[in-house]
Amino acid sequence: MNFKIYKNLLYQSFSEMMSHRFTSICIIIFGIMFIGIEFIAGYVYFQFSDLLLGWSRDDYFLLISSFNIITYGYQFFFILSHEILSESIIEGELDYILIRPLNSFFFYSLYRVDIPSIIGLIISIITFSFFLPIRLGLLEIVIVFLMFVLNIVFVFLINHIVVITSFWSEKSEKLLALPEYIMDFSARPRNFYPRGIKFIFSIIIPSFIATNSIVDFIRKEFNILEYIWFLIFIFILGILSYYFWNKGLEKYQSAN
Amino acid sequence: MNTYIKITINQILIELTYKFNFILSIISNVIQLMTGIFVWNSIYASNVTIEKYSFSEIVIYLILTTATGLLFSFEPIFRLGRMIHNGKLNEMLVRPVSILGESFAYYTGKKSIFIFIYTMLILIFGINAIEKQLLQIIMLLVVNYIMFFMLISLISTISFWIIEIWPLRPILNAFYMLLGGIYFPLDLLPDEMYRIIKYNPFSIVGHFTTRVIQGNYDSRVIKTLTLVSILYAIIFFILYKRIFKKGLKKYEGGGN
Repeated sequence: MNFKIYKNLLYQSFSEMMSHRFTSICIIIFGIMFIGIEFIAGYVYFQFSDLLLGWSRDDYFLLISSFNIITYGYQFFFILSHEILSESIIEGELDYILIRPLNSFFFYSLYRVDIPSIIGLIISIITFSFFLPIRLGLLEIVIVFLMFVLNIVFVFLINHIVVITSFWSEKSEKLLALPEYIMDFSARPRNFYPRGIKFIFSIIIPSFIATNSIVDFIRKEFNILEYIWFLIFIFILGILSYYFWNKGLEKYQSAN
Repeated sequence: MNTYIKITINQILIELTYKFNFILSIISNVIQLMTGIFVWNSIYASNVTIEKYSFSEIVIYLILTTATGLLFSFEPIFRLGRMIHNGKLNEMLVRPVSILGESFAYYTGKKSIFIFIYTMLILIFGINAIEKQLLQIIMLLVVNYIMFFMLISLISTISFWIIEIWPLRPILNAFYMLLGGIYFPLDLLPDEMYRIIKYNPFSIVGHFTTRVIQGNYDSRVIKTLTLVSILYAIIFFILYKRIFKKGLKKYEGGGN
């Protein structure tokens, strides 16, 4: 897998987008609507008080914006690949790629990009910049950018693990939505949840760290030890993901 | 009539056989419900007083509107689309059954478990209102069910002109979540905004019906809602018939 191959995949993604223009327009409209709904909901929540458990409205909107950046970043780079991959595994259609001299793990992870999601990504970056309470220095911008990348990788990995279960179970297609539910559940200030739930989604599946860490960093409430655990988790998940991908390929049965 | 009853029973049996899908739907909605409850809990925990709603009223509201989300969904839209594009509509057209009738029977069978759950929830949380206004509430619920079915049947006719309509699903869900009052009671919106969206079909099915079950409206309001719902059902039915007829002229009957 190299840049030349990736460039070709990008070109194919663009061609497919142009073939399915209605789909692309719907995705853009939905993206904008979804962002709008989250902000309207936030407006309703904060009309009764300026602060909710230590969070101001702008902090809340900053969290929503950072979550949207992570979500649209994942969708742009990986969501189409995961949808196609799950179906290809179950239908036994991986052969086309498996016989080629490519690393199948990386090829199928980056197979297609969802170009319409870039609109949602751009809007989210704009709202994120708008609700920043302070001006970030260059080092802080670099740290925040890296955190976004790592948080997107986290979302990719938890989705990838679920997709890989398709090698063992046909019902896994229905499970594909589970990571999305977990991330949606975590897209609120961690303080809003009881202690038990905070523990589960900070330590066992650190989705709260993925969604809250950037705003915690900006609010100067960042917990470095927690983020180190998050990095270790991503590393372990990445190793497991690669290991089970290869195990799955051993089990894979072609339809040809 | 026997035919339609058999279709409904058949679909109930299918739903009971494929329990995994049903369980996943429940899980996803429960996660969404828990998120809402924790957010509102944080609002009330911040020493906020909301005149129109106590915390327990909000929780009951969220439970009931989440249940309406299970009951009132958009699957039939995509079913007709699949039949049109794989040519299976041909089979339906030659059969001595009404396509609308068959679709209604299928939808009712598919939703039967959720109808049961919704009924149980109404009996648990709406017993006071039911005791005073039983017949009116039953009438409203039945009319709402038919009205919503006619709305989604009308939307499904777009399949005659558009190849892929699955991208509409998230947009419709977003509309329903906002306009149906799934995220928050609609009367917490600014008055001007509430006045504009008050009597949309999603609001009648979601927000208003929930408030009726909670015993917040008198007979006069329930009658108004029922009349508005009947009017919508008639309009959607007339439009459906006209557009379906036009769509059939365009239909080529080809498929896989």
